[in-house]
Formats: sequence, structure tokens, C-alpha cells
Amino acid sequence: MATTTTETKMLTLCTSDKQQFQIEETIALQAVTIRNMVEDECASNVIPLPNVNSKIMIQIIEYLKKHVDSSVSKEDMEKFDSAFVEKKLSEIFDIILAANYLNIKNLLDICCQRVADVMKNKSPEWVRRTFNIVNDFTAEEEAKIRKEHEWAFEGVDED
Amino acid sequence: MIGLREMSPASSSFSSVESQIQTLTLNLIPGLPNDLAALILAFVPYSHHSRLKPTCKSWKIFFSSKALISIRQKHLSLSKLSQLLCIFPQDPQTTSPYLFDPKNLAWCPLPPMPCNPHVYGLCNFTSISIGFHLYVLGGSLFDTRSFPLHRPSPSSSTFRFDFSTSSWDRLSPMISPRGSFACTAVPNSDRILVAGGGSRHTMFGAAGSRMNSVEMYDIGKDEWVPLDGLPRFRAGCVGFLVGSGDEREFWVMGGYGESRTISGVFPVDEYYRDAVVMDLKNGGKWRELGDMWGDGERRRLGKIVVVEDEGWDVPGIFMLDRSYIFRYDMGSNCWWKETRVPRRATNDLSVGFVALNGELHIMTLLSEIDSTERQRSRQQKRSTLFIQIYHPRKKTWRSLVTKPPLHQPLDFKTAVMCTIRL
Repeated sequence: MATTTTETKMLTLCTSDKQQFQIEETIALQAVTIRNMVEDECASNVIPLPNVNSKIMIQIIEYLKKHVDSSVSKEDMEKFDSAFVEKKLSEIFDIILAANYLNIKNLLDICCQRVADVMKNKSPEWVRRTFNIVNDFTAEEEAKIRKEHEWAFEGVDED
Repeated sequence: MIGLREMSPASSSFSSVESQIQTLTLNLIPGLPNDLAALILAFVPYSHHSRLKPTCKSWKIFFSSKALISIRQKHLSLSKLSQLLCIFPQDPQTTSPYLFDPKNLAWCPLPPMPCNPHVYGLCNFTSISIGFHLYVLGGSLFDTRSFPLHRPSPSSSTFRFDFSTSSWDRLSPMISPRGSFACTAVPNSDRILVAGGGSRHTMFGAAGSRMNSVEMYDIGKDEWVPLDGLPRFRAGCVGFLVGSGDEREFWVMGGYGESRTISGVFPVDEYYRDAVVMDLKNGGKWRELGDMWGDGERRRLGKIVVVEDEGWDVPGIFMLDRSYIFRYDMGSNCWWKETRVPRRATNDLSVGFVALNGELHIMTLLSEIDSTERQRSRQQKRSTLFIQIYHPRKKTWRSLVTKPPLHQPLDFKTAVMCTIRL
């Protein structure tokens, strides 16, 4: 018999909406949470992931498939990562929650970096609007804190 | 839900940070648990933090907290931390040091150092960073209690600025007071090494003592201990660390020793052309490497920076000498021409040379040329800092221009600089 087919061990991941995903074990084990479950043998062939829905799982599998490929150069991987995080903020938030639950450090990092990059050149007003944050300062308090801001920038983005 | 604590084995002390974040009763970002929101905010470059503080109360608390700096230092990779340049334009007791973020072209003043009313004119001190601490060591100054008044004396003071509390602390002084000395931090062992130095003050270019004393500071114990002295008296030298783990060496290069007089009047320094190396493993004995160049090649060692790159076994040691950058080759104990600086400065001494984010930065002030005339208009017009940047791995040049918001004039001949990752 061909050796490749027998050696490729498959895992089945079951998402919160009861969708099943069959993926190669080497791909799935990049998620530390899945690796721990497999090593502890506390899961059968089907691994339940009640905190991840299928829509997010598809994207996470896309990410894991790329990152398991050791032939991809560092530059190409960075290109893939920066294209991968070009998503709506709400979607990035969902991936952050899933990446944290599944314990995929690099994915968590690039998504957090993406959100941080969105807010870094912006004013507090813009950040409040974008992230639904309520300003709980009085006008006097806010003016005082703004005065304490000591970094001088060449240019900050227009709102 | 899995806590951040379990995410990476390196962040063992994350639990305390996490509990600090959990004590925030207010939510940081709606829709996300606070530990993840805190991680997102930690990815914002350091220089942008204070502008985002007025967003809401919880952000103000978090961006002012020790937890933030801890998360950045422990969770972010080195390349994600902001490498900032710290410039001391003048005596830090009276003039604020400044931080410069080269990626975001942003400047920020730091509080001045605690002032000693008896001393003034501190210069030729050394500044070095370890973690989120900035150290200011030694220097040369005038002391109103010493006689004669106009003779500068070396200082043994040790100060530390803590970025998590934004405050200065006075630490145990060095055993021997000194300025213009070689200094390096020993990563992961919380130690600082100093070697040589003397009392030379920037006001008197040629005078001043020299010494061979070597000391080590133990940060945990707040204690200086003497080490084996340099083979000869040496001041104005540069120090750096080569190697990792147990195989570490403290290199001390260049500087001046004896002075001779021309026509029996003018004292002239005898510059060293060599380096001496202390093996930190074998009891810390010094060995001499011999001259790095021959007669007539150059008078003295240029400005030196050391660049670490993950692709290199040994750090890259670069020298700015007039319009060229040279690279040191350990095998031959020689300097080889690496590249030519695209735009040479009018005054070689008034050039700043630092390594930031793995690139060499050559800094000149553009308003220098007309500094003699139109003094008044220059005070109103801020001077422009022109930075030529060389990438040693890609071997490419780029440049940028920034306007430092400094109130005092900046002169790279006397300014003290160091870099810090925050």
C-alpha cells in the first residue's frame, strides 16, 4: 500500500454550530489547545470546539494550512499574514477570541497588531466611535489629561 | 476561556499582571474580555499611548499602568517593541532628556534628573538602558564645594529612570568617580560593566585625568564591585559586549592614554589604536588585541555603534570615520570600508551616530551652517534634524527629516545618547 495515505492522520473538528471539519493532524496540532487534547487523549477522533463557529473555523484553517508549510519563505509568510488580517474589525475580534481559545500565539499576535495599527494614528474621538467606547470623563478631566500628552508628532491622521 | 497566562511558557509572571488588569472594574473594549483588550492596546507603539489616554477612564488607567509595560516587555517580540532614542542635549539635572521614536517621528521630554544644588555642568556621563530602566552613570561636573572652583571633577553618581513609574531613583555610587568611560550592559544577568574614564569636561577639551579602574554593578544587590583593572590608563573609550551565554567578552576600544605637549605648551592626547578584551568567564582577565590600524591611516577611533542581527554569529561593529562607515573584522583585527555616507557633514564631530532597529543612523542638524549669523531668527525657527540611515544587511541607504521640539540647542559633540526598547 502507498505509505503517504496511511501516514496522513486526520482529525475531525466539531464547531459550535455542529459543523465537522476534517483536517490533517499536523495542521490542527499547531493550535496548542488541540495538541493538548490529543496528547491527553481526552478526545476521540472528533474534537469538540464549542467556542468557535464554522465561519471563523474556515478562516483559521486557512491560516493554519499556510503556516504548516515550511517551504514558504519568511517574506511570503509576512505577505500572507498582512493580507489575512485585512478584515472587518468585528471579524478580527472573533478571530482573536478563537485564536486565544485555541492558543495559536502568532495568529493572536497578528490580529492584535492589526487592531492596534487601526487605532495608533487616530484621535480619541475616532477610537471611541470605532470601538463603541463611552467617554466617561467630564470635559474638565479630559482637557487635563490631553494637556499631559507630551509626545509631539509630525502628523496624526485626520478623523 | 483560556487566560493569557497559559499562552506562552515565557510569561510566567503574567498572572500578577493579569490580576492587575482584572482589577479594572471598567471594560477596556466592548465585546472583548479585558485580558485580550489589554493585549491589543499593548501592541500600540509606545509613543502613541499618551494620545489615547483621554479615550476613557479605563484606557487612562491602563496606559498609565505598570501592567502595560510588563505586557509589552514579556509578550511582544523584540522587533515589535518600540526602539527609541534617548537624547540628553545638556546637563540632565537642568535640561530634560528627550525620547525620539524614529518609526513614528515623535518626540517626548522626560523629567529632569534630581538636582544636586552643589554641582552643575554635568557632561561626559554615560547612559544605558536595561529593560524599562534608563541608567545615567558618572560624568564630569563642577562642584561648588571643591577648590579651585573652575576645575571639573569626575562624578560617581548613579541614577535610574523607571518608565513604569516615570520617576528617577538615586542608586549606589560607583567606587571610583569617572566620566568618558567604556560601559556596557550584560543582558539577562542584570549587570553593568564600566571601564577606564577620567575627569575630562567638555568645556576643557584637552585636560582631565585618566584611570584604569574597572567595576561591575549588580542591579539586584545595588552594589558596585571592582574587577581586574585595564592594562593601561584609558579614557574616552567605547565599550560593548561580544558573545552570548557563558562565552561573553567585554570589549574596550580606542580612547586616549598619556598626553604629550607640542612646543611645551599645548597638551595633545595620545590616542589608542587598539582594543582590550575581558573574558567574563575565566576570572575576568584582560588580553590585548594589538593595533587595529597603522601609521597615518587615522588619528583616532571614530564613533562606534554595535548592531545585533539574528543572522550574524557576532555583532556588527561599525565606525563612522569622516565620510565613510567602516566595519570591524575580528579575524584580521582591522577595519574595512563598508560604505560611503551619501551626504557628509560639514563638521565631523557634530554628527550623531546610533544604531536603531538594526540600522545605522547618522544624524546632523541642518541649521548648523547659519548658526553664527541670524542667531535671533534661529531661536524662533526650530532646527531640522537630518538622518541618513544605512541598513547593514540590505546594504541600502535612506534618509528622513524631523524637527526636534527641543528648547535648548542640540550639539552632537556633547550630547549623550542611548537607545531603549519600550
